[in-house]
Amino acid sequence: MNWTEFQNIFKDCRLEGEKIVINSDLLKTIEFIKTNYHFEMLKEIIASDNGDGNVELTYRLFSLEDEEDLLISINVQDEAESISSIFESAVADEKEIFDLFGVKFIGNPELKRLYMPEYWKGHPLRKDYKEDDERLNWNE
Amino acid sequence: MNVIVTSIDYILNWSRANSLWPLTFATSCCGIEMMQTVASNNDIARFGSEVFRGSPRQADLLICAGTITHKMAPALLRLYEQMPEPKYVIAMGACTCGGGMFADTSYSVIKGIDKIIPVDIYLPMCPPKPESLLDAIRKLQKEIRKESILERKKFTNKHTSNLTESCGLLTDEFNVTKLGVLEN
Repeated sequence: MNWTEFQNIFKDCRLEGEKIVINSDLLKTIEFIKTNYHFEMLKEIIASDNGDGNVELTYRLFSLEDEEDLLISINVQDEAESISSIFESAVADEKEIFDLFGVKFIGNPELKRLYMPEYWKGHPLRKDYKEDDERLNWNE
Repeated sequence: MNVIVTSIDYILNWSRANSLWPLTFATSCCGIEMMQTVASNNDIARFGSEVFRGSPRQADLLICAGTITHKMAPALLRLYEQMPEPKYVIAMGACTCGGGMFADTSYSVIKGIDKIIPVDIYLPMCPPKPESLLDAIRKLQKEIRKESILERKKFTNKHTSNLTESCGLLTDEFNVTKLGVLEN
């Protein structure tokens, strides 16, 4: 993709290695990249908690034409935009991230727990997660 | 009276010990070793356990082969309760005996299935070799041959009361999830 052309349209972004870091307008950016640069496949969404209260979401897009990957990363707090209207396969990934990191994706049609039981309290992959549920004392 | 009970015991125990039908319950890597035990190299059929059943209603023995998580626990409890008496449990692998390598740090793993269901034979190691599973089955058979129908009834009564005490949460939560009611 043409980086200078992209930066002229989205001024609020920078390049970190091979990763494009944006600060806002996630939905718009991904839709633009999908339509203009033919990255028509979402490989995965990576989430990581760096310990400063933010969760870093990294979207790995794939271009079938050029056979190359593109990483787009954004720092969010507790809420993020859902990209399930652009990539349907994002629904399951966002469910998993909601379950383990507690990021609420606005616009995701079925946002509920995927791996943990539905009675579970908290989101276990957060750095500030503490296991202090009294109902689970039988497992000590 | 005792003479009659003893001879009934002898026949019952002989038939029970030599036709232990296990339930197919492999939840992780120990299941691979269990499959190997069934295959011709180790041939579990020599000890009368070759008939792996898909339904708990036809099984006598629950070989719990693999890690049990919080989400799997209600299913395990339900399968155990669906098995008809007499029923036996082998806890296969370190995870089912006491949590294994997940015991200290994991948030999702049950630290030993004996917190949920009564266990007859513990078989540690990660994972146990097929020979060990055969050994566990032989040891269970030895235990079964010593049993009496009078004692068996006491054992089951004791464990039924224990189960309802410790697993109130599990069964409640299971009902909650079944109804589709969401907390949080």
